[in-house]
Amino acid sequence: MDVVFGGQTTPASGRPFRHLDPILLGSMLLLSIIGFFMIYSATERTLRGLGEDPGFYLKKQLTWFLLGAVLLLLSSSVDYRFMKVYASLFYGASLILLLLVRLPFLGTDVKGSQRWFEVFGFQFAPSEMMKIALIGMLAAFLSEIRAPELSLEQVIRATAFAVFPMALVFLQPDIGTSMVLAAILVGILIVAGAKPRHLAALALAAVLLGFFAFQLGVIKEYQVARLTSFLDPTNDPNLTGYNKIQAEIAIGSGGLTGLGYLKGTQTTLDFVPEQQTDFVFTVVGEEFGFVGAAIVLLLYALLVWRAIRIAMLAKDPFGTYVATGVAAMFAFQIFVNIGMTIGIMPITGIPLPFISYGGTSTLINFAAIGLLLNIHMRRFT
Amino acid sequence: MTTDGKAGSRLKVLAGLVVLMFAALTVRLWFLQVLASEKYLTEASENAIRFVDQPAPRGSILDRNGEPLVENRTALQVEVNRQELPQDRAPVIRSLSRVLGVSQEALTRRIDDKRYYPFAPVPIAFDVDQKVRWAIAEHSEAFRGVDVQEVPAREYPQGDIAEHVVGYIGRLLDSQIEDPKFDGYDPNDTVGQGGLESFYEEDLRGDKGKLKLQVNAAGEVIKEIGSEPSVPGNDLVLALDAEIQAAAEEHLEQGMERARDAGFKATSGTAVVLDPNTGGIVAIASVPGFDPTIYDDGLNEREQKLLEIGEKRPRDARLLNRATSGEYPPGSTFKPFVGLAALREGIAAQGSQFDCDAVYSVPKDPTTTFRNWAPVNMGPMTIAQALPPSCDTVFYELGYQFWSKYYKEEGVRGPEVMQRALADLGFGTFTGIDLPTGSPGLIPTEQWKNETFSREFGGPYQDNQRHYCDIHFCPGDYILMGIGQGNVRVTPLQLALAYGAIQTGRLCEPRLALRTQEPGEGKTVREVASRCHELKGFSETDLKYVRSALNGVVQGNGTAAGAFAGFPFGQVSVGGKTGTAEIAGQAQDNSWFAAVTRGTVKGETEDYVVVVMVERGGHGAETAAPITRQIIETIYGLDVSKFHLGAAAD
Repeated sequence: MDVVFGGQTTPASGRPFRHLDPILLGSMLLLSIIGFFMIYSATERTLRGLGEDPGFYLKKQLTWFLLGAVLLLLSSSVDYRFMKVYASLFYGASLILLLLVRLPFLGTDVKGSQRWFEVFGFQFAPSEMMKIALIGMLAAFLSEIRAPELSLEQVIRATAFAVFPMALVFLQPDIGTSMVLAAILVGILIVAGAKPRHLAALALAAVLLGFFAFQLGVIKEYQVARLTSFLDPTNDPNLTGYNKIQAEIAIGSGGLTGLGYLKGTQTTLDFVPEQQTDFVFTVVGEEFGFVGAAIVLLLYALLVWRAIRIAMLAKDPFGTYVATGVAAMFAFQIFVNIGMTIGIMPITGIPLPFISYGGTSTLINFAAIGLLLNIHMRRFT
Repeated sequence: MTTDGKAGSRLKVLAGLVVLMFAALTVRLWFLQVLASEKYLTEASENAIRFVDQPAPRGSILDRNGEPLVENRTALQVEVNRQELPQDRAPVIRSLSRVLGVSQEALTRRIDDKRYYPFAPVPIAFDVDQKVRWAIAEHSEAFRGVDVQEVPAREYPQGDIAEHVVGYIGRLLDSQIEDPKFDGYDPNDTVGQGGLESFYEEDLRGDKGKLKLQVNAAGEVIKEIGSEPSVPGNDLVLALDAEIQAAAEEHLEQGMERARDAGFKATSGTAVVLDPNTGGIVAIASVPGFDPTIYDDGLNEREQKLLEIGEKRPRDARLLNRATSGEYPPGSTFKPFVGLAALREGIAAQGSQFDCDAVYSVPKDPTTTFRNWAPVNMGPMTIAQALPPSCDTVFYELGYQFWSKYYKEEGVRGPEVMQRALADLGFGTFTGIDLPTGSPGLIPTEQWKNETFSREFGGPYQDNQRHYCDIHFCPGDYILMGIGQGNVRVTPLQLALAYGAIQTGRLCEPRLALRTQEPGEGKTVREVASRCHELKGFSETDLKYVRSALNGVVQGNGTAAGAFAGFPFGQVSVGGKTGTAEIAGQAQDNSWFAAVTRGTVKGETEDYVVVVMVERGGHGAETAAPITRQIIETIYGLDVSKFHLGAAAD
């Protein structure tokens, strides 16, 4: 099968598109479809109440989905090995964008944090792009190392690639995304052969850094409150603990089989804030119960499993590390996002891949899947 | 596998971490959604469901002919929804202040009333004009969060008559919020705060309905998901007759006006009309009165206290129902009962004669004297003969006789038979009227005197001969009791009931309400039983003896003959008794008249007792008797006489 896109064709040799991963693609599609329903449920009642089109968010998300599909085709079609060459360029560009978004006349301030560019009415977050850029940069850097284990110097250099963007994202402030970047770093370092004691030293350094950041006032009070309130949310139910309590009520009240689509009161009556984005999983939990939540978890498990499998099947270390980075990114986001809605993780602004409403994150997730497919397709060539 | 083995095993480490993560998520979800789901379901419904009370229409209060005394109407109430007020609420408060004529400070205070839940509307002005409603509706932008609601209120179709009886309604007082009697009430509920409104609160109030509403996180109502209709309160049917009540008030006020023209202060007064056969109260007037609607705005407790006791002029006591809660020395109106007690206890027989001298000297202590009101010796007379001219001397002697029965020698006392007989006539105890307040009056005993004044003097006066009579009974105590003075206190209602007992031989507990009935069709829900019992120990012949003596009071040489001159006794038989009660430290006497009557109304024979008392009104015959006559004339449909001022007798 020759797939035609963008007026170009892939090199006929090997016909990589024959080797798509249907399980990966299928679980991604199913999750996206579930996302459409969840976004609609989370927003239609409120939009109706405001006299707006109840499908407003859904339609925007469908647009992102289509754009994402195009991006997926692009990122899967160009041989990923060419990307290795441009990895540092992409990384550098992302870093510059992260710097530029801090400039008041370029970046847009939303709810007190400056992390978006406003482009043609759409918001674009360079921190999302940075995830892919970092994966590419680390994979490119580490794949050049032929030693079975990483030296301390190599670990420090790899860490340095992650620390700069992490600091920039952290200052936006967007603790969640900087944590995702850290997860990508740790995931790739493990697979690339960092010694356990180096990893432990890294963890210790992170803790110390966090401590000093707090002492110096870089971490704001509310951030600490948000991060710690998950331990005792009733302490301050109307402020930092409110989101967590409402999210737990939503998910808990879903029971085994849920209240039915569009019938969750926590969802339709706006008790859960940020519900189409960070707290979208509460819609699944409330309206489809444990069964629905388990199905979503299963789809995510398939997705992450396929990503790790692709890392194993990859023909070269670069492919392995890229796939590992993507797997770490997804796994971490899934765990932290769902974990925060059910009270076992602190609340951070991390979207749930493929289900949460969001422009840049959808595009990046699709691009990441494209990369996985890319690596998977070309494992024999 | 193309990846080298090391990377593969490290990927397995990563995979293991992922498995742990997913396991943690699954376990936690199982806990939340399967094990603890019940709890969260409850919390979710508590989140989203609000119950809003629907007020129940309060029952009406009707007179015995079905004429409404108190009804419901709707009033316009301005309410503020605090959650809907704009961030800067100052302009709204300014606009409200202008349209309501209430200061901004007062409005702010009302809006911030902590007794209301944040989502509950706070009433800030009651019974406003339609114009206010229009003003608020027209400028809805300037009045964001302000609402005008129709709320139930009380209406008084007959004007403010019988206000002391029907009472009034008002916001639940702070002190009542904790009261278990008001369990299930909301802080902004209106309840009966006095009179029948309070006594029959449970019958009148009905049951609130409930609206079950679904709200969103912002507290906005999404939809109604159920309702429980309110059950209206029952109507209360009284023994009261609106027409007689209005006449009693009018005659009382006019009579007091006449007394003031004659130089009396006539500060306050009361009139009671009751049916002695059932104890049903046909009218109770108490002057000065009050406007029952002033409580609609939710009078606070301090203001109410001030009104009750009168800040500067305590004697005003506008809220005081003088007929049931005022305690007064009865003066000569008490004599028939002293006479009955003397006959019952064998102190006198119907034919026994006593001297009616101008001065009474205490036997064994002739230097102590008590004067008759008339300064002439009228010669010997029986009890029956002594009542029409109200001879004090005869009753001084009866009192002294009771003293002799009681006092044997120092340290030895006999039974207090006089007090016992008077207690059997209902004096000294609560009447049991269906009102929240009342007074028992007082028939003094030596023990009472001892306890009360020992405390007052606070010293070892028992041994001090000079002050012996301050805390012990002496002959004078009984002698003064004989003419209804000294420490004797009665309520005008007690007196009316006792006169009713003379007429019927039965003593009744008074009742204002006859029954409660369903609104509309009028099906009886509950009867208020008439409770009367045979007088204990008083023979019918003695009662008849006193009864006929009372007829003499309004005729011939009777003290009230002048006030009843020209009265058609052939149509309506009237017996009565004047009273002129002296009050220590009060220059002008209280004027009393008590009457028992029988006549026909619309072909039916009916009995009524009428008691009138005017404080600082002078003699019984000059102020109270004419008022009584006018009330009697109204009751029986006679032409009402015109009076200037009655004769100055007793």
